[in-house]
Amino acid sequence: MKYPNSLIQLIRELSRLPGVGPKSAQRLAFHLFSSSDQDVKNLSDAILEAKKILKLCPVCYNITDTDLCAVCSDPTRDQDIICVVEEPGDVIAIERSGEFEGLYHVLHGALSPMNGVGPEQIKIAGLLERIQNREGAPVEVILATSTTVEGEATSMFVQRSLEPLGVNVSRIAYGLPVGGALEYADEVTLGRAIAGRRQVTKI
Amino acid sequence: MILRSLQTLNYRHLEAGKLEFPLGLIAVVGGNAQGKTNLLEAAFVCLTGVLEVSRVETVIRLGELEAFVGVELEREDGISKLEVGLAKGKKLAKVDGVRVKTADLARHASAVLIRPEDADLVHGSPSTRRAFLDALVSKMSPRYAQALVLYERTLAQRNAALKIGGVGLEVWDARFAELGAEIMRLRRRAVNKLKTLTEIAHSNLAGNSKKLELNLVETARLEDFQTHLSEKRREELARGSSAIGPHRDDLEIKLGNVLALDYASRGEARTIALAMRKAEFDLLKEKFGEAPVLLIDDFSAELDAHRRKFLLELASSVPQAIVTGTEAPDQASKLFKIENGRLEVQA
Ligand SMILES: [Zn+2]
Repeated sequence: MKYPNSLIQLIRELSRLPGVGPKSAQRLAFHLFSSSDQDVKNLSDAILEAKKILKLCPVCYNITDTDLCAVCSDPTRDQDIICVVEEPGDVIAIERSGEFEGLYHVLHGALSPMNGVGPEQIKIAGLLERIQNREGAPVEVILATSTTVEGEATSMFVQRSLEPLGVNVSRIAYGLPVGGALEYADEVTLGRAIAGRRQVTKI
Repeated sequence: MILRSLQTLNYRHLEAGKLEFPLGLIAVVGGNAQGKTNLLEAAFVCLTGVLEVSRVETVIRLGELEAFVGVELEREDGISKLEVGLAKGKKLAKVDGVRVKTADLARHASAVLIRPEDADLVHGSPSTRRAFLDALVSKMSPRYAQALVLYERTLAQRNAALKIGGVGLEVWDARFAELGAEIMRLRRRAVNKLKTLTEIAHSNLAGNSKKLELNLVETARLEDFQTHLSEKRREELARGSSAIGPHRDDLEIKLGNVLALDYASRGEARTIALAMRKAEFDLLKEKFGEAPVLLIDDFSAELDAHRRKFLLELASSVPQAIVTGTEAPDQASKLFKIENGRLEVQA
């Protein structure tokens, strides 16, 4: 016996979503079928509505529902510092820390030749253009890509691409987790924390 | 270190349950395919975390989704409980109930497994010897274990970049050279020690008529790894993969000035391999300040008098050793019988 075609179609579409395998797609499809018409309508409306009004900010490539995103359109933010991150979720995480007052640039990924992601596939050109077209005070760029092999390579690529533009570039510090005892830190984290130490007394 | 107990669930066809082990020379006796090797393997996995992810599925009993191994290990500073859960493509480890990375098990425990197949270290491909080195150096240096994981990931990305004509290759080169050099440095240090200890063990085993010599054969120049990479650029682009680096290096074994790979007999290869395992044992003993758990598989298949004597002396030098075979050695102080995956105390 085969499922009806419309059900097969629904399962196929759901299983194309990231992180959803054929099994969960099937479960989701059955769930949708047993939901009320109103619930299903709310869901499909939410998807269509989000798709219709969400777009990328033309300056920083973060996801926004206005012409310029909330950060780019806020004149009180420090216009001279740009923090480069991999994903929109990273912006939210840094905003939550409340430590950063500058602007962002979202790359939408990290270099990964294995997955066919080269410099052209992420928003690096947009960053260079953005910096070249600026007038006034020099900027600082903070590289806040992840510490994975791919994030490190991306950070290095952006750093090298920025070299001819004469901007200050820094990499976020790798630290020890707050509240953690030294003896439980792994060697790489500890090694980096020592390499990236900061001076507290100067004579 | 002393293996106080071993508990398994769904591990191959070993019968589920918990077994307690005494001190001394323990013999596990049974016919072929009764589970002798599985038993030692299960203990080894739990004590070292070493089991390739691709092999995980093969150790789970047919028809089951998950397997479990737990041991109680006595060290000089007390008893700890190590556990490993296995599921398709996954390994989970716990030490005293706290989740750890599987690689971290090697900080808490150590074991040496001696098997007849060890002769492959001599006659097998360079990858067999690299795997031996990587496993050993990882146990001696957690920094090596971490650098190795990052190196392999970077290598895969770099190879992919080489296949598409080298777009953005520079950023992978920098990290590749940095990690590669670190691995080479740590390997050199370890091989220096391994070389001396193996050569000593070998002359104890086989006398000095044919001198054994171990040497690390490297493909990249450590001092200027990155320059070396740029010299190889054209060749690497043509082959679409990385031509130099620790992933291509080999541990060259010479016996009486000729390559053991080509000229050693099966018996000579087994003697060399045993000397290498003894060196591994010595290095781990030095690192932990106490002897690793000693597991000897298929002892009765060892017919050579020198190697038998050497193995029995080694097994008697530690508080506990587990030896399997179709019959028990005379020196055994405790006898277990294994039949169809079920282990029973005999005397
Ligand atoms: Zn924006």
